[in-house]
Amino acid sequence: MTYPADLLEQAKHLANREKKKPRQASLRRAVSTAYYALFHLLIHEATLNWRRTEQRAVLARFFEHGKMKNACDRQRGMCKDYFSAQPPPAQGPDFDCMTHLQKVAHTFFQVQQQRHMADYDNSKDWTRTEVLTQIQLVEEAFDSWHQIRNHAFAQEFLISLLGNPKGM
Amino acid sequence: MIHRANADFGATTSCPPTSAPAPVTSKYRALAVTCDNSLVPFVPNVFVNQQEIAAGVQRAANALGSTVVRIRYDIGSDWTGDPSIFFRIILTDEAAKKPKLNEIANAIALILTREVKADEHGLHSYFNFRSASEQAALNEPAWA
Repeated sequence: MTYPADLLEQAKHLANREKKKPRQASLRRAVSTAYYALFHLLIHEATLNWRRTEQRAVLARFFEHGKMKNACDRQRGMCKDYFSAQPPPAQGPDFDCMTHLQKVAHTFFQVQQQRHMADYDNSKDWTRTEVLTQIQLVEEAFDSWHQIRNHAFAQEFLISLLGNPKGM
Repeated sequence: MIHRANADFGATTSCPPTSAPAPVTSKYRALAVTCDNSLVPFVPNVFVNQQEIAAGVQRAANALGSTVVRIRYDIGSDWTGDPSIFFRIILTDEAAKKPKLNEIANAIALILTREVKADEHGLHSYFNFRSASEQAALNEPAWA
């Protein structure tokens, strides 16, 4: 298993760790870990494009939560424009890719906010249902990503996670 | 009624109807100002038509039928300061069972997105789900 997949498995383990009365610590760490599973999946995929393998870990440090959030927001907008275009887009690989990209971008956006609350807002009580819905979103995003990872749109999305290029 | 909040968090330029303000939980109280003795959630630099949003939530609740016990929401800022709407959805215990949960949560989020059109109000949407029995155990006012 890869590190992101391990994190996702760990999030599920934490969410179900206490059978009867889940501890807040377990639920909070589950939400946070689910987010980091997706965060590291996308970064891992992006850095795979860097030919010098020994530099990939360094490159990974250039990705930032806020910039990745903004990239996901832009991607959601692009997906919305694509699906609402006239004439409507034809079914096919591009259509499927945009459908899955929309899922990935939406999920990243959603779980990043949840992670922030789980890690920093101690006034909030979490329930297992809340946590499981977040984990399941991430699990679906993993599946979506693996279906489109080699598509040109998906590769452009990976680059966008670094931030907005100058002049654009 | 549409109201606009000043970017400096100083005051709103007009007030929404006092009869139906969205609930403001303690978590977002810093994002609220008092106006005609009612709490008015506001988001910097964004027009928020609360009546349209409330009507959209009601339409979604009607469309969702018996799987949803109730829907609550707040308007505030997310962790980066972006204007956002935070939905809190209580599911029946049956709907919250694991094999169905994902499918049901996705369907609810989709219907709320379609009916509320939060993005057209300049708001990001966030969704949290609880079962009725979980809420009964916690008895959290924001979800009541």
